[in-house]
Amino acid sequence: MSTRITVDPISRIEGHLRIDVEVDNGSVNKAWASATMWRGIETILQGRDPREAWLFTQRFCGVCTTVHAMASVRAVEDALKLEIPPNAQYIRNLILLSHAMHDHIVHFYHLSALDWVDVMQIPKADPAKTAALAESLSEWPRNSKMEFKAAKEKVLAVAASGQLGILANGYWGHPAMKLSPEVNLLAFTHYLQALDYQRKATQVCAMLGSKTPHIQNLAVGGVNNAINFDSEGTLSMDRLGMIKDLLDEVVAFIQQVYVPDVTAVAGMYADWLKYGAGVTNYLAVNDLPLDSKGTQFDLPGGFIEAGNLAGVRKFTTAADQSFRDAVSEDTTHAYYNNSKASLHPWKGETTPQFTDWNADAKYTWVKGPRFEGKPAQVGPLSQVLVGYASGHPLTVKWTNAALDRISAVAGRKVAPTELLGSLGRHGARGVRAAMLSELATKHWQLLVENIGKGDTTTFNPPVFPKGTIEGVGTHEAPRGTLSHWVVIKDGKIDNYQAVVPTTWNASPRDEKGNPGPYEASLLHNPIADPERPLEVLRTVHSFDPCMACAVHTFDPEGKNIAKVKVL
Amino acid sequence: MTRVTIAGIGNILMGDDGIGPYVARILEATYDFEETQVADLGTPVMDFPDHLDGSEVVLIIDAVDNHKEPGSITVYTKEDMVRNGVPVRTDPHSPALSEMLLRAELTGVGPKDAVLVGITSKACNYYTRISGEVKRAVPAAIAEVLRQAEILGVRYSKKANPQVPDIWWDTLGDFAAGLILAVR
Repeated sequence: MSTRITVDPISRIEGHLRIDVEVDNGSVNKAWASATMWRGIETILQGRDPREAWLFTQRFCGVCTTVHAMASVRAVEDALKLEIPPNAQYIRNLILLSHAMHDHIVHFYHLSALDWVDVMQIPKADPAKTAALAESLSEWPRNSKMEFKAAKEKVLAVAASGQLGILANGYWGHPAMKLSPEVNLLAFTHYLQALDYQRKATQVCAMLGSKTPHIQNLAVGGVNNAINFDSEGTLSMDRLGMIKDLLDEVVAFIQQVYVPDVTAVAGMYADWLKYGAGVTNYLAVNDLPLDSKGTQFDLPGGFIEAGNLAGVRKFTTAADQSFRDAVSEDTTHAYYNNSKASLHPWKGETTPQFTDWNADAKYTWVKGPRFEGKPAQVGPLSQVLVGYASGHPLTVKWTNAALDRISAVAGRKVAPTELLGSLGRHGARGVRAAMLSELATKHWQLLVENIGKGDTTTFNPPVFPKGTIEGVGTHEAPRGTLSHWVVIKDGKIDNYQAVVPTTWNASPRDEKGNPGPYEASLLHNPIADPERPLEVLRTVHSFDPCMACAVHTFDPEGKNIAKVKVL
Repeated sequence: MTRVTIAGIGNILMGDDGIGPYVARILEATYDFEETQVADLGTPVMDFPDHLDGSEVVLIIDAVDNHKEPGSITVYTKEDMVRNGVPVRTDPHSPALSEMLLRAELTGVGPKDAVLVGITSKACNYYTRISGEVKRAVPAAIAEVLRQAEILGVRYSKKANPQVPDIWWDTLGDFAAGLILAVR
């Protein structure tokens, strides 16, 4: 006898991500990932001016907006073979870096740490012991006994005011929660502090991008930030100084708080390292270009097949020829009525045909991207593995530092191959955040030095030829490899397809029946309590799922997200 | 100085879920409030508190799922909103309303008090219009928001020259057009 669990944040409503799992003897034996909404912006773009596509595409989402703007201008520039000035590269890179640092901090502390941290344990915590533990992990100045005491008192005050309910929900108190009261207090205190630092990172994004969410400073051919050190109204040294101050604070938080915390949690839950690997083909693209032509990059890309790190195939450009040739999207199990089950994005079709959720037929709006016909996992783990396997110095440095920390807490040597599961995905995100924090300082320096040489150029105007041209713009976004594919005919968009990170990871089964990364990662996960499937959330959350378009209906009774059916 | 924020929240593409923004935009177009900002905040994420900077109180208009007749108006206090706590996080939009209030409690940043004027929804499905039952509740919702604003000490008046509300996603139905004429 097996049990079917449907995890749907809004089971009453159509929208978002839905996960169905079949559980046998306390372990998952089948899983389906389903997106219950259609995007449709690709259809809107047909016939439009390619120079404005980025303004539309960043409306894919209200959270990760910047990434779609960036991939879009890069796609059109690729089609035109248009170089952009160094200042434009550095300004774009600083926007991408600040956005990604914000996103990684928020993902760990505010969206998923509470899958592992139990706030109900905090009243039992000793602030002095917490401070001693914190000091053994990091030199962060806000790790004093007074900070922890204040955080504990806040929790107690909320409890005393009769509002304990706000702390009792989630899956706190679940049998799979294993941290000591002190570690719970430490993590929760940093959860509160992280609110400040994610905001500072966003401020950098807004200062350079003019606003956020949805930056306004891009153009096909560069950026429209005016640079003049004699004018306060432009990107001046004063403004750059403010950006540097904000970046310094975020960098310190990532290196002294985020990395120690995520590695400590991974070490304390070492028995969970083995769950959630799933698809072991890993894909990442090069990013943070260092020159106008985009020949040198600070983040490495490549493809690893079947977990064979030694056989990593490195990419040399942002949209490497092998990447251009290898990507296709399969709609065998998605709600589309396309002419073929599998199509290359430049030939891609988006003809919607909704049928109800059917495990054996169609069950999602997400297409199934494939690399050389195979499913691939994307995200920080993929990028870290590609960098580690190919000996990228910055990746190796931070991965080894993280492995040392995890090993010290776990009390045994933890190998790089143990980072492939759900906790490893969190650890790799911390490693990537640390890499980005170093690179943020570097790219700020590159921008200032380049301006210092007297170069204030930020834009090369695009010229559209008669006839048909094709381009692909890539970006290694916080959730992984993003690619926008555009076909331009006589200066107008003829076809547009976005293959986004969550499409790779939330992909359904394909023609051959191969499941996508979410689906595969859930197999063999333990389920202690089918009514409260915390373990499913832990694994799915580790991918940082992002489904655009939330609903906001207030439910005064709280949300019961799991439906359990005995089959 | 902004002392109070009147915020409509919800997803305008999801049928009745868009009622918060709908009511906020009518209020914005037809009334002047003192020391108060009226805003359609959509489906806020981590930026929710940033929109409320400096406000002591937030008066929220939102769709609710409380098993009453569609279009029923119910007022919730902050205690009501936080009683059942933060729902399990499933996506970046989840930690919005109750978590924002919890955070204000724990960090001291953000409004100290909150009132929610809830309109019971009928159906929140992708790209459907607001249902008739919920649309007919708009005058009652507006009256309740004004009553709550008064309790909070907000002074307001009808605009001498009301504008047409910018409800671009839902062509102005008979009801909204009639309301604008009545205000004039």
